[in-house]
Amino acid sequence: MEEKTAVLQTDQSSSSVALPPEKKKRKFRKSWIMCWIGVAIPLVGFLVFNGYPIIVSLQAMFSSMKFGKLETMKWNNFANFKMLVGDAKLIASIKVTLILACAQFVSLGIALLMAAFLSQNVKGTRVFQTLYFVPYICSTVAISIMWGNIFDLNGVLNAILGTRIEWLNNLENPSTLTWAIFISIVWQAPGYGIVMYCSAFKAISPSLYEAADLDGANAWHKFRHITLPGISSITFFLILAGITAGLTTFDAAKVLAPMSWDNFAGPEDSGLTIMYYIYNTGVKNAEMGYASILSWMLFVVMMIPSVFLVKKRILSMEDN
Amino acid sequence: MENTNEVSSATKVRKVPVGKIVTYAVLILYTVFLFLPFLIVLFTAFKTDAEIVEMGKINGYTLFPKKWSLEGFGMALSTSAEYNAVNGVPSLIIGFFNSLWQTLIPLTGGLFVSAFAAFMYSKYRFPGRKTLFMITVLTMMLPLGAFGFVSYLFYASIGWVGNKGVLAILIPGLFGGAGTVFFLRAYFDSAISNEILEAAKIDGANDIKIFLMMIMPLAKPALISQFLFGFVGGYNNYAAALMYLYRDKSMWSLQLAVSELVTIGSQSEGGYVNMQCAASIAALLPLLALYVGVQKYFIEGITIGGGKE
Repeated sequence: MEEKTAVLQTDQSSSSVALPPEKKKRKFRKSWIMCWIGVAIPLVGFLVFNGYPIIVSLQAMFSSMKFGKLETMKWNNFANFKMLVGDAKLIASIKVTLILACAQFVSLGIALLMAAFLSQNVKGTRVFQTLYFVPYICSTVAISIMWGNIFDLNGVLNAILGTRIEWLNNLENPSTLTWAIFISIVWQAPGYGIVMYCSAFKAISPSLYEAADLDGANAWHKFRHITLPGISSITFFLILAGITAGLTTFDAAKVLAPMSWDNFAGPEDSGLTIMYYIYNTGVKNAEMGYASILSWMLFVVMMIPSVFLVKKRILSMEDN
Repeated sequence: MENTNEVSSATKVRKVPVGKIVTYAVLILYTVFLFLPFLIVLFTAFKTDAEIVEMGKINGYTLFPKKWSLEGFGMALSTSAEYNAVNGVPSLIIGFFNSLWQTLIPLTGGLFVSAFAAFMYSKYRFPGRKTLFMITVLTMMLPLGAFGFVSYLFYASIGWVGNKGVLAILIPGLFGGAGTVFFLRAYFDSAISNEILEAAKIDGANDIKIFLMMIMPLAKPALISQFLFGFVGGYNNYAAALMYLYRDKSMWSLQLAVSELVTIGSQSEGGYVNMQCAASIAALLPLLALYVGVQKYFIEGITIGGGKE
């Protein structure tokens, strides 16, 4: 090892592939150009296709446009922001989104529970694990049709209950639509967490539990002091991913709550998520200024948990 | 150590058969919860629209069709323009092939670009390396999903909407992604030793050759997992297709074609629930078939941390 590095270091004309120790003053090398180009492509892609659109949306917040055309952008004296006041649809969509975000936490709980059962000492857990992951690869559009069929007026749920309720268009109790979407999410979301938790459980050394047994620890103590620390980093990741997924719920709402002619996503907008509202305002109705404000609000809200959790994570890492 | 392990697991098995039964009961119940809806949809797809509506009215729902019919599949795969067929080709068929190439082109291109960048970060020393990597990680952590729909404004301004909307689907992915770079870099750091690269260098291989002939084959497990999850994500993507492909029926992706069949159904009187279910099955089948073949890689992919970006 020592020798090889030495050989390569004397060979200055070669590129830097052998990781020579970093020096204070480095002479320019041709290979740097290749490195820079290689690492720059993803960053340029990010700047052009993520960064620039975000800047445009920042500008759009304070402007009005004709037919969503950038050339017609004009300063409009905070007119877009004034639309926020008393926007009943926004309030409805926040409510629906928060309920549906809870579906992600329910899914997390189910994932933990099912992974615990899968980690029992029984045969065939591998097969069950493979089956449980299936919903994750299914398209949300198809899954929403599936649940739409179950909640259909002529569907199986009404048959079981002996009722004739339009669950997805329930004028007496509009929230049944929200809960139908909720169920479809809970059906689909846990698969990923189950597999994650299973591998986390596997990574915890069984000798820890044995030592605890010898010390006379009860089940709760073992869970609290061995299992929980072992799965904390994966839980942290899953919570973050769950919040992001929950707050940006769109596909299921779009399919299960199609826009009516008078612009309602289900009765009393009970299927209107924030992303759905942004889509409808910005893409459908070409009010990109207002849609940008909504997007930025959503972005800031999503930043809070990620900053908080990342910070907490760094602190807990310093503790250990 | 191993001895105690065996003893404890053996006593566990003998002592609590009740626990074992409960475990199996829960595992099987959850399987039913996950797969019964599939069966319901499958059998509904083979019912006639008339049966669904009539039986609904008198509460005579049955799981199996009273009369097996291909009416639903016939409508979903109709060659008529009323059902969004283009030049007599059913929208689901067009959608399937469009989804394939519209997913594979940006995915494979992007994987190469990301892998090359990850290779540079992992095995080379150059000025700005740490800073640029920090920026990459930071961009990865931003919840950019919030801007999914307002990006439309930018793409509209450069004309990548309407008939050219497919460019908005294809081009950005070709630049690779921060998440993939991050994941592959970690993989290269841990799984590919510097020594073999040095050896190749001494043998006179150039950097590009090392990347293509050594790094890519060695990184196969990581690349496969990135590819599979990328493929599922791209193939099931609905929002982007809705924004950029909607105007040109010949460019529709499978998810878009399926959701538009639902729209047709919901505008009809009976709902054509059988057609909706048939379309849903058509959307699910290709990935389910893929999953049966490669499920091992999916589970392993998550375990090595390559799942979500």
